[in-house]
Order: sequence, then C-alpha cells, then structure tokens
Amino acid sequence: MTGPPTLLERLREHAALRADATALESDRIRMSYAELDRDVRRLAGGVARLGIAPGAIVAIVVRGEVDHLLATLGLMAHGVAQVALSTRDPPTARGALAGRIGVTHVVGDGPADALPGLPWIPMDALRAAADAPSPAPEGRGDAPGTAMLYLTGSGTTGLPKIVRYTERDLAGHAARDYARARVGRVLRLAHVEFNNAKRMRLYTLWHGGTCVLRDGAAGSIHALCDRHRVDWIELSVLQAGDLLDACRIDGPLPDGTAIRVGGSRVPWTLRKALLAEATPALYVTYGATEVAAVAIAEPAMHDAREAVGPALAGVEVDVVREDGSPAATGEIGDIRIRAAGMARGYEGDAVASARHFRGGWFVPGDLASLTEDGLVCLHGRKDDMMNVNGINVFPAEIERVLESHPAVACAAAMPLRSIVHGQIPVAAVELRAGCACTPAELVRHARAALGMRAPRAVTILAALPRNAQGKIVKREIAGLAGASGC
Amino acid sequence: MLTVDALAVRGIIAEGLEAGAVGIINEIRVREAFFAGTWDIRIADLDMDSLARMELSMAIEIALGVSLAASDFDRYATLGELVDMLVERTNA
Repeated sequence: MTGPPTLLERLREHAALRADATALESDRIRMSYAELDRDVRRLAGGVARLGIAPGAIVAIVVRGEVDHLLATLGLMAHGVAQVALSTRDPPTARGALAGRIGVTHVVGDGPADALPGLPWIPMDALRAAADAPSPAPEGRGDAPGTAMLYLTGSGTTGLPKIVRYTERDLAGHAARDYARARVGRVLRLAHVEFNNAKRMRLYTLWHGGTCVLRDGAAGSIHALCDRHRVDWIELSVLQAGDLLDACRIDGPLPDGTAIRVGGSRVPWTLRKALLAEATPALYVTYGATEVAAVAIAEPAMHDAREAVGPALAGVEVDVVREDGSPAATGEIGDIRIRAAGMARGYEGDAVASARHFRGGWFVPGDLASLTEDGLVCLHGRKDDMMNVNGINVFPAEIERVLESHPAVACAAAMPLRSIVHGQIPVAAVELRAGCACTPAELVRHARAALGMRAPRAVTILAALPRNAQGKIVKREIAGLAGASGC
Repeated sequence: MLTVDALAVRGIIAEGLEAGAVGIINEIRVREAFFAGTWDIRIADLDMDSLARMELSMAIEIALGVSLAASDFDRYATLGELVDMLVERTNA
C-alpha cells in the first residue's frame, strides 16, 4: 500500500479505536463510528445481494443526507463506482450526465428519480437488502481503495466537467485538507449531493471528526450549531453572507467556532464583516474539483489583498506568464497546480483536458499572483480578463473597488466586446439592503480608484445570478443587464 | 427598435467628454447651450487627446452601440454634426 489509509480503512480504524465517537449527527440520528462501520458493511452486502457488481456505475439520487452518505460509503465498500446526480436538476439534465458517465444503475428515493433504460433501485430496497439474513456474495474482486467516485463541476464556464477519483485519491486529499486544523464537529451547509460538500464530509470522517448534517432541518444556523455543538462550519460565499445576516440578529457565533469560506472569491469586505460580526476564526480556502484543496488562508492572513493563503503541504503552485516563464513576485499570471492524487483529465472531454491539464500541471484558468511571503492572491478568471486598447484589466480589481463602495454588497465585472477597443469593461452590482446609489455614482467611484481600468458602465441588479453553489454566473449577467435598462 | 433623440445623444456625448477630462463641457454656459442646441462646438476646439477620444468612443459604443475609431471624430466639424449622425444611425 502507498499513501495514507483509504477512507474505509480509516473508518475501520476509528471504529476499532474510538468505537463510541460520533461519526454522523443530525436532528434525527446520532451514529457512532462503530455503528457507521457496521452499517457500511451491511450496505455493501446489500449492494452485492442486489446484483450490483464492481464495474457497475451507480447514480445516487437521494435527498436525505444521512441516507445519501451511507449509500456513498456502502457502494464504495463494495467496490462500485458512483456519481451523485443533483435532485435539483431536471430529469433530462440528470439523464444527460448519466449518459456521459456511463451510469448502469440508479439508486433513488422514488420512481421519479428513475432514468430511462436503467435499472432503478429504491433506497428502501437497498436498506432492505442490507438487512437481509442471507449471506452476501463474497469478495469484491477489486483491490481496496480503487472504487471510483465521479465528481461533476459546477458548469459555470460551460458544460459540467467530470473528473473521477479513486477512494485512495480521496484519502490523499483528506490527509492534505484540514492538515493544520483540528477536525471536531463539522457542519457543512451545502447538501451532500454537491461534490465539494460530499468530499468535505468524507474528509471529516477520514480524520475521525463528526459530520453534523442539516438533513433538511429548518431553523437558524445559530440554533443548529447550539444543538449539535458545532465548532467548524464550511460555507460558500453566498452562505457566508446569510450567516452574516444571521449574526446581525442572533449575535456572533459561540467562542471557538471557526468558519471556512470558499468556492469562489471571498471579498475583503465580506472577510472584514465576518471577522467583526461572526467569528475571529475565519479561514478562506481555494481549491478545485480537479485537485482538491490548494491553499488555505488562516485568520491572521486576511487583508485587502484577499489572499487565499499559502499552498498546502504537498501542493505545488506556480504562477507563469503567457510564455510559460515564472512570473515575478506580485506579477499577475496563470496559476498552475500540481499535487499527488490530482485528476489527470476530464471524462469524455479531450478538448477541455488538453486545455487544462498540461505537462503534469492542472491549469484552472485562474489569474493569480504570489506575495513576497508566499501567499496566493487571485485576480479572476483568465477568460474574464479584459484587454482594453492593449491594457490588461482584471475583473477582480474592478470588483474590489466597487465592493469598497458602502452601498455595494457584491459586484461582477466583465467585458463588452468592441470592434474598436477590443473589450470595454463593464460591471453589475447588487446593493446592500436599504442602500441606494446610481450607476453614474458607481462609475465615478470606480474611475477615481482605477482610472482607465474602470468600468465604463455599471448596472444595478436586484440580485446577481448565481448557480446552486452560490457562484456568480457572469454569462447570464449580460442578458439581465441589457434587460434592466440601467 | 431603439430610438433616441438629440437631447439623449447630447447627454451621452457630454458624459464621454467628462470621462475624457475635456473640461470645456463642464463650463455651465457651454453645457447649457450645448444641451439646448443653441451653440455648437467645433470638435477641433475640444483639443481632445487620444485618451479623450477613446473615452468618448467608449461612451458612445456602450450607450448607442455605434463603434467609432479615434480618427472618425475628425470627419465631423462640430459636435452638432456628430449628434445628427448618431441620431440618424441609431434610429435607422
């Protein structure tokens, strides 16, 4: 065996050494590591009894977070590949994704989750098969740690990209993530069906922490944290904004509660507000589905540069110029990342693979710079970088300046194509509740700070369009801005 | 179809000139007369440098979708002629 123990090996270790420690907890259940290990073994037997053999690829369409996680681990324990299909997607979108991956079976809550032409297994039937008294067929027939997990990207830059990892790859990611933080009672607000949320929960289990699952429970974050003694919360930027609103009503989080925000740019204005009103233990992370966590900014690292921290141990980060030569300190270039257990390409997408996986590196298309002290600072997507009459303009610099205006909650900058100028920078903003200002005022504000790199037009929208993970979808803004008439 | 009148186009041009730091447009007497259409301004008298032309061009393109290169402004003797051309092109 090379590398760290696999997820299932770690589960067994925890079950042996810390049998009563809580692995999963929600308002409805509390499951110790011993119970989780037992249930996972039984579910693996159930998978075998249902005739699903290693080599199959199972789609999980399960809404209950505990059931979903158990199905994930049960399939993994039987060596079966899997992918979560979003219950929020229409059946046609789920079917298209399943077709691209080559899904052979679907485990779902009800008949509506079935996909045409594929065997459908209700979650209840999987549970019943797990509890059956007959002996399960023996042997998975594959090597431990090789079960595949397919992960799908958010699709903010086009068709959802698909990568796959073995259980052993995921263990390596888990060992890297949280390496410098304690793993206690971890709440992640996003549903487990989202790839990042699922991985974080698997990482928590790898480290022997407690996964606190919201599992559909209503009520405030503060109340949830109180009930389950949460000491670490994982949030998207959108959820961090909601948390901030909650803190303005319910007060700061209990002492010792840490939060980690990631998934997209975390503006300095949001960081300042979270530090002041939610908790001083704020972590900001940068990562990608293709490599897992890349960098984490610890509480003392936050300032107007919006650094996402130094590269994690075991992760190489470079910033390079267009010609591939290393960028100087502070110089903006292409970030490229290399780490053990990273994806080697996208499933069924040779063009995207060639574009983003080059010479052993993953090149996400993000613009970055490195500070003298080795922190990574992000400057937006390369696709979004604008060339205005030969001058490079970075979306993030416009967004930062607009977000420094007291009325602006968040901003998104993008180019308008121009035959004469190449591109003209424009922006859309969402205002803070109860605030007012005019587009002209925002243009003047930006021009005072940015001069020629300022947006020439700013549109005020009721809400910037976001995907399910809270990322701003810039492709949709142009249409909304045009329709708004601002 | 987008229709704009001369007053709206004059407003767009004034904003573009302000962005390009062409100070004369902020003189109240000039500005009022320009908006009222009672006093035309010779483009040569604006003394626009390349950056000012770029800003005016961008302001026009964003607001009206009409692309003008920096040298295109020299085709018009006055801002009034430029306004007439933009109204005509936009409403065509």
